[in-house]
Amino acid sequence: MQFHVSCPIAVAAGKRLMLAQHLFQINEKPRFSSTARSNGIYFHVPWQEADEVHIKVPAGMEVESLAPDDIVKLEYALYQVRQKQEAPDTIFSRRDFIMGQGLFTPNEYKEIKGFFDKVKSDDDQPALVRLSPSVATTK
Amino acid sequence: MGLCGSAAAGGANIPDWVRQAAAQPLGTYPAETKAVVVLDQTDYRVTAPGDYVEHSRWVVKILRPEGREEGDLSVNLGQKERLDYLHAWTIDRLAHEYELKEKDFAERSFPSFILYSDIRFLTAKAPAADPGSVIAFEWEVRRHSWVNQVNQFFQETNPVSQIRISLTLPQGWEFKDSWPAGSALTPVRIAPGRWEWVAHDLPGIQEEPMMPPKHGLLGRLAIAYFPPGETGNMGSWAAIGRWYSTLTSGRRDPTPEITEQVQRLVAGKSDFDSKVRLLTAFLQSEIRYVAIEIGIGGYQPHPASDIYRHRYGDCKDKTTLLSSMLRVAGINSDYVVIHTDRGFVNPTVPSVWFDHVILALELPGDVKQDEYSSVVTAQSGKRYLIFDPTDEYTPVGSLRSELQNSYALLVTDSGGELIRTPLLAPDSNSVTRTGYFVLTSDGSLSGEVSEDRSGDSAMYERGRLHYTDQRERTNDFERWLGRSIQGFTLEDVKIEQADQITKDLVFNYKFTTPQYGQTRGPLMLVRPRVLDDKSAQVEHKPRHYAIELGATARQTDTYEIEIPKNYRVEDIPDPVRIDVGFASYQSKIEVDGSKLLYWREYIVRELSVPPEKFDDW
Repeated sequence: MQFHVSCPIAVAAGKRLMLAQHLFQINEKPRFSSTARSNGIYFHVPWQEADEVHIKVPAGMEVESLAPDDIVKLEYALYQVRQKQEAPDTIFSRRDFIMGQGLFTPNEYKEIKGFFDKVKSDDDQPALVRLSPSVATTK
Repeated sequence: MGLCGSAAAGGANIPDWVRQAAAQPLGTYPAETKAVVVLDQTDYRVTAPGDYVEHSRWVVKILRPEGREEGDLSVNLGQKERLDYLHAWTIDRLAHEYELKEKDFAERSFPSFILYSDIRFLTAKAPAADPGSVIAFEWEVRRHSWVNQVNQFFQETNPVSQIRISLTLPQGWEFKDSWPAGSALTPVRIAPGRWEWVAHDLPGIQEEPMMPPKHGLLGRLAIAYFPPGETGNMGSWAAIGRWYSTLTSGRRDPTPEITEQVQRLVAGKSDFDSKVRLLTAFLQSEIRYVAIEIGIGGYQPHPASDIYRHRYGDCKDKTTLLSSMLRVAGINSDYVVIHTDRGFVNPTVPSVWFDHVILALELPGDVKQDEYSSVVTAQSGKRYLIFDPTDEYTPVGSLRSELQNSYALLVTDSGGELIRTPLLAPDSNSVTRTGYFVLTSDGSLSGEVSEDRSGDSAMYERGRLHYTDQRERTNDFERWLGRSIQGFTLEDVKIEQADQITKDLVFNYKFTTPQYGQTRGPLMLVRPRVLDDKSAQVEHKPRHYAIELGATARQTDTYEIEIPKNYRVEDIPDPVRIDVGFASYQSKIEVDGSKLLYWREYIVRELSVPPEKFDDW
């Protein structure tokens, strides 16, 4: 599938822009929000996601900081995010997610929820972009 | 290939009119069109006052898989109505032919919140309802109508290639047809006593997020018919009002038991407000909503005496009993018939198509209008307080948004008048959230929030609280909280004034969430807007229909965040102030010593935004 889309991905925060890095996760809701769980958890199939995103920042702006790389490994699941500045004006991010098990007991809920909470938290980590010093000083 | 079932091909007997319709070349339609209605033909033949024969032929071609639902066939039968004929056919894209006969249809009850209705549905699934298939459906029913009026949509959600509507009247009878402004068709007399309306290439309704109810967007007409010499046909709102006034005559007469109950309830009270609040609260809390609609019971309420004795009724029953009780208390009131899909009642199409009944309480001259939000003034100059006794969670003086700014028929002793229900001010529906939080140097955030809700914001929550247990409430609350923060621990939730609908509903809750502040070297990123997001995920592309905002509202968030001692605020966003007329949004962040102060106000002033203002939205 190929598509072209335009959408806002940055939020102004004072002198900076907060830039969503994992574009395909922007509108995802938390997988589990309840603290307690009575019934088991069943995923229809094991699944894997791999997202690779390259974002070119606007002229006159520079990357100040990227979200830290992170990896979470469980016996049955993996989540890894990597970010780097692949060029002065381009951010690269890679997100890998694997869920290799379909059925969990309620006793395993805390671990599963913690895993998905961490995934959501890392997915939402923005890159910070600011005006280049040369641009800022000419104002 | 094998075929099975009684509906299968082999002996399918496809009528010529179906073959002709199926052979018609289709026009050009938007790519996402699910199906095209090739023919929509309805013939009404009036046989006597209140009796007519309705004959329908309908042919559709499915274009996309999403159009398979067009194969769900259904015809309704009311009390004393008789089916003359029922048949359906399919010609699939490989020219296989299928036929459904009357025995292939199942009878079902009225699929709704109504406990019992004698309206039945004969339903079937057309065979081979797949892309490329043409489905034809024909039926004839001897109808019995409570009014001399037929109502019909002349548009469908799918495009219609050809629509034909005909009316045959007994000798000397007349009719009056009513159409939405600008869309009237001219009838052609095709035989003595028979007229026909024909239209071609009517567009469908396109799906858009936050669009108005589809039924309100579809073109429709009402045809009132009447015997020679009859005046006051059903072609005017006044006449429909007179009909309903007659239909309900005597239903509100109080019995000694009702009178005694009212006297007990309002003992010692002489002012309008006290009496009204006591009586409306009685209806909201003591009379259960149960709808049993048999025959004309879909229109006519039960007598107040029955409703009071059995302690249940539907919307018009509850309205009837309240009106009766108010009369005992010396307060005049009138029925208001309305539709809960705003925009469905069209001023230029006088019709009996309503789905709800509420009450207009006449305000005495000495009562100031600004004491209540939901007040309208009729052409007579009388001021009315609009109230819905079916709504258990909206107190008298207010009106839930579903019923606001909508056309409705005020039924008075002398007839009827189309009124527009009031649009309530944003302050009548508020959410005021105040939070105090502490942020620690590891990024965790803990704090407590107090949330006051009024109007619809309280009404929907009260309804949810009523129908859920503690576990469901906690799950719902955590789900809502999870949209703003992750990995939180909800420490306490207290709900106050849930049963006191005249007061705000109050939530107090405490939570802790780790990693709320995201550290980046020496920086910590913190979102001062801790809870709730006002954005809507709607694709920006040319808009056809209005954007429905749901309710007027004022929502305010005030948060105070104590930042860690070893941090100072390095940078904050600029204040935001947007006002587009129908809504406004303001937010600001300030620093006060070690505290980060966040304030946001979101106001909605209109229920609907026209498509030309989509960019503003």
